[in-house]
Amino acid sequence: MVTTQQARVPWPRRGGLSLLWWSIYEHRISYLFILPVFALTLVFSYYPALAGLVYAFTDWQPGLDQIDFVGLQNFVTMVQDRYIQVGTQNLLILLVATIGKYLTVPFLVAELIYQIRPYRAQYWLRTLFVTPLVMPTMATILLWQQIYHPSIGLVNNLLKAIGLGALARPWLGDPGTALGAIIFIGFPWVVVLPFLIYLGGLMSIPADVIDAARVDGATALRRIWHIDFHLLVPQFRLCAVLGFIAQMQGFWYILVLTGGGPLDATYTPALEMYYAAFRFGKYGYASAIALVLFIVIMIGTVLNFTLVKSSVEYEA
Amino acid sequence: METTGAAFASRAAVSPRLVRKLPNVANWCTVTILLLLVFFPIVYLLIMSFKSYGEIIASFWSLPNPWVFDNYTRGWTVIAPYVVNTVPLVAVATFLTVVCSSLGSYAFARHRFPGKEFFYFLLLALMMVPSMLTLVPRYVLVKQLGLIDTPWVLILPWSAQSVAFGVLLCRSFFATLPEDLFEAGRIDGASEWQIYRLIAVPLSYPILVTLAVVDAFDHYNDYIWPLLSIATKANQVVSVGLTEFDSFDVIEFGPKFAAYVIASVPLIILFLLGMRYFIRGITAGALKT
Repeated sequence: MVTTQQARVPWPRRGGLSLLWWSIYEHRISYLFILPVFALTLVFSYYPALAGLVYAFTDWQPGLDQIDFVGLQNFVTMVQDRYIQVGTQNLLILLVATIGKYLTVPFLVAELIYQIRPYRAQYWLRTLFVTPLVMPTMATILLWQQIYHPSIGLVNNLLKAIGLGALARPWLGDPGTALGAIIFIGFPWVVVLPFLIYLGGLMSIPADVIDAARVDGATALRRIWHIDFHLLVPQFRLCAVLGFIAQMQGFWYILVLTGGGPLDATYTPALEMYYAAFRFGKYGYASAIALVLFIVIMIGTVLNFTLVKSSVEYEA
Repeated sequence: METTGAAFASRAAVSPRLVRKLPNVANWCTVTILLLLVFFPIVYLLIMSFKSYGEIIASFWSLPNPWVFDNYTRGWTVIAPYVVNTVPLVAVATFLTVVCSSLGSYAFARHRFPGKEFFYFLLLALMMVPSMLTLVPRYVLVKQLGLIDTPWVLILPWSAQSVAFGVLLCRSFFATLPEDLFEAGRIDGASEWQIYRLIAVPLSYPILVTLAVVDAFDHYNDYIWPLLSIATKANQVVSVGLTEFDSFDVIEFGPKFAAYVIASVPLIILFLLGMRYFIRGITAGALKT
């Protein structure tokens, strides 16, 4: 570090800059404490993020010696890319579905469990709903792939068993149902993280407030409507953002399940980025897609935090 | 919306507390149905993992008869090497993350030094950067560094991706510890390192375990990065190994399902050891960080 060398003066001789160096030297222990974090992130997070920003404006392909700046060409290509267009439509559907999942069932389950007594039962139920985490996510995805299996899958066998065998189909292999089948995965969608966030929010509501609601004769539904919804706005906001970010970037399970197909039925922009980079070697183009997704994530996150906040302040 | 929380709270002071123990039947029913639905795929997986191919075709809905334990032997031979590869990598990466995060967050929570706000903002900004944006450049970087196919290509980026969250999580915890403790340490002549090691760390085990559990789950489940950065099958991790089975090879149905169960074992152990801390950590502190 430059700073330590300069600061080996025994005492600050002049004010201003040397005083700063002296102060930095005095606090060298603090810098040592944060050094590991920044050493790691500098190499494997900051540098790649900045490099990605630059790549987005080049035509870089691995193996080619010459890398040229192409200005906004990658972004023009992206707008014209048919897979990006279809992928964006699919992504919108997936976003609505995922954010919907994050906002509804986990909250419902949190409410149900929150009202269950005795506390011991509440504790165990909470643990039970978290238990599915013990399956590796890849195993869960592959299990669902088998559940959709055309001949020996659970879904088709279930349909046959209840006399609806005519509806049986290769759910992931049919362009009309593939996206829906992907969305249905994980039914009944008790997503663990939002569930715990809502439950935490409910448990932090002061007991007085709940008791008062009871005394006033409020039913559970009225309490949820008038109290819980209002006090849990920060939790809903956080979960919406988490779902949004997860879905914007999430493509690995699509890669595993359908690879974007059949045809282009399950393409998403993130998947197209992966293919552009690692199947077609277009690093520049892939970086441009990633950059756009990053900007959309930023805008979405900021919008969510400003819009939702203001509307609630207005209501209250 | 005339009935706000504040209005309720003020009336609570004057009205007597009513303790009602109303066993809510509807509640229990809904929760039970949801639990059945949640565990249905898992039970299905367990049952199928003991059935032979012929039996799956002939009597889909019956319980295994006989129970084909051979599925597990065959699943084991395929998946066990991957599990053995993955566990130490996840352990080292998680340990590295916890050490780095706790060191960094200790300084951010209890020290004052020039540029502290700036550095903290840098880390916060990192939370906003999706791993997707860095995927391609990071891949190019590790290739240039010659890390492809080494353990470090997983350990270092895994850690780098979780330390920002780790610092955020631990910082709020360290900040709540009473300053008197640290003051007493300083008066007794302990060095900063000793104060960190002997006072701060022992008091913050719950949050460190929470962080470790979150990270270990994340790393164990990671798929895309190992797929790209590990070239040799012998070094590959479990998420990628699970995809080894051909999804349309119906004959291997039983062993495949057995392999899914076997791949869950490390997570089951982790769950038993750390889930209490994880649940408590997330419910107590998700929004305070």
